[in-house]
Amino acid sequence: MDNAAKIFPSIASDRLTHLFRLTVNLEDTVQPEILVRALHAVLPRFPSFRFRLKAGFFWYSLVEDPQLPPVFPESASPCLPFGRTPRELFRVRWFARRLAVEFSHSLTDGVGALPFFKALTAEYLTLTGVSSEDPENLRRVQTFADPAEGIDEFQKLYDPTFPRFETWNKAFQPASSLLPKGQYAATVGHLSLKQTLALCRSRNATLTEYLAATLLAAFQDGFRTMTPDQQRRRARPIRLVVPINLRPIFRSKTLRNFFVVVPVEIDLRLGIYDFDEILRKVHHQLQAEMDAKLLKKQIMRNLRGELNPVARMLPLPIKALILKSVFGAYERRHTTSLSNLGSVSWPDGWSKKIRSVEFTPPPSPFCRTNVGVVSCGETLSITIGSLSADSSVEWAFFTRLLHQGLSVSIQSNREFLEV
Amino acid sequence: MPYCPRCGIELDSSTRVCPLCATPVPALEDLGPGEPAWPTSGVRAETQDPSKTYTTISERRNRVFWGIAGVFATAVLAVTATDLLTSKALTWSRYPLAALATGFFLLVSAIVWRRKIVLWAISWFVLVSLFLWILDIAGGNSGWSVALGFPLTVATYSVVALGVWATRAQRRGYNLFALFFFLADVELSAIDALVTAWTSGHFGWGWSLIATLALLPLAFFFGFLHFVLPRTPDFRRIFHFFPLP
Repeated sequence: MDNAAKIFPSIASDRLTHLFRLTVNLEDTVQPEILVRALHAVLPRFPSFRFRLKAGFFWYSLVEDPQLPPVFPESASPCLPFGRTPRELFRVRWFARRLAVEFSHSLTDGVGALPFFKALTAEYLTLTGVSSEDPENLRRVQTFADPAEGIDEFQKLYDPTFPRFETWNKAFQPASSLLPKGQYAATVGHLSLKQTLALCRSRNATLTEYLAATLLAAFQDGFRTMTPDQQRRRARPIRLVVPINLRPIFRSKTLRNFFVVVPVEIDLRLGIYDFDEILRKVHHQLQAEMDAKLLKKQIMRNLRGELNPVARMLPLPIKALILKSVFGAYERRHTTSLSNLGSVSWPDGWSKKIRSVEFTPPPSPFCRTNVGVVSCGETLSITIGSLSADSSVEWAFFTRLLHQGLSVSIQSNREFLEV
Repeated sequence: MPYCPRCGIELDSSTRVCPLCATPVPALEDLGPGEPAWPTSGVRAETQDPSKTYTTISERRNRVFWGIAGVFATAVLAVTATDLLTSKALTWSRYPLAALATGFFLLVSAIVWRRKIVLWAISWFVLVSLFLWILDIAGGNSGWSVALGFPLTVATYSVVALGVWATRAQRRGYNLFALFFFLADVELSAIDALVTAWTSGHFGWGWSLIATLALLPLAFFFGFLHFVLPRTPDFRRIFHFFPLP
């Protein structure tokens, strides 16, 4: 198991599930009996996904799971926990025209989950009679999985001579109450990719930079609506973390977790920023952080805790207690996160049957509102996952995009939550 | 597709309330009811999803209330029965019964008004004063609850309120230590003065002067550190530990 995978199950709770979701919206209604056949056909071709969690005396570990999992109907909230003692590491769901897979971060990260997700979709469409050429062999027919897919790259990069990572101070948190347990609001905005990219280009920014700046501005809008007393007590940096896929940087093929997060921030104690200032700051901060050496320094920070001899000797229940408080303190140093998975595509025959793809970030009671971005064809999907009872951040974020001249279409499960 | 009349954002055809601003969305007859984007709670109930095992906040609150009430009721029954069996009347049990009743209501008001701090504080003040009065009545009605108990409660409340108000200062550091020692001194002096007034008929300070001698210098020391010295004091320079370069 990699570093993140060891820590996440120990600190998981009803709200901190570490489950993220990839969703594909199809042209036709999903047939669950065919979906099960597709899942059972694809799973043996991805041996790194045929695992379940096992609690040991010192750490959790992954053990091979010979059983083939069922598929589940959709729930009113995405990314809900598997149960009190989670053993499963992913779950396939269906509803109407939607096919979704919820992955535990113990198993993989967003980019690592994509090959499996694409293969499952392709296999399902093939079984429903939609044929397509498959030049990249997405379905992995008659091929063996690469052993490099199961490697823990973090361990390979460990270098004890690296200096310690400076900790961040506490970040701004909006004043809002939590949704009841078992509820997670997911609000998806569908935009035109072409239109959005044109807007980003006109501001000399990448898509991630532009959306990160908009999200920071949305949080700042929330801060500005607070009373002077609340503002005085909550004035801290709004810190947004952007997960960086390390595979292209360190030339890895692993499907296990292989990412670190880099921060971009605006400090509310210094005053209010206009959008151009935020965008400029985000651009420069991201450019400065995208340095292989700096990223490696972050990897060392993540590994040091795991390799600490005292931490290694503690039994799992005691370790879980300590990890929970450490992780809580770590999460309070972020306000939000924005993960951009980039573009997901299938060959033409299958893509005709696909409307859009969505990426729902995992819920967290500390950073209550997080954003997942993915595009498929001409559609850009931005999902704001929130454990917050009020939707002010979603409102500020999407109306800001609307006022920039983009057409946004919204879908959300908030209407069906029992707040 | 319908649009939210307030945000102007395009919504799913099945949406009846804007998910961003909670504005009701007028149904467009031409579009029909639309395909729901998410399963309703009815669909969820049919599934084997763990989410259905969750309870709502009010259910959980009721469960907690009845759990606490059960524990207190058991204790009340045990105390009353023991007293009645041994003394054939309610004698010593009046004190634990008053304490149990007060404890129960303190806990309930803390749960009910945990987010409304003013109501919480008022209810606790009333309950504590009532408890002292009942103890006084049960012990022969000597009047100490009004002459001593009530002023002591007011003094303690004032000190705590002052402490809570002062800890909301923007710059927090050594000033909190200074405040703690200062308020501890105020509280001890108030207790001393009120007890002296109750026992001897006039205000006066005795043992609390020793506490003042110990606590006030500490309060001044931390206040000096916080308000007079720069934020990161260089103690070598202040106390001339060794010659500076």
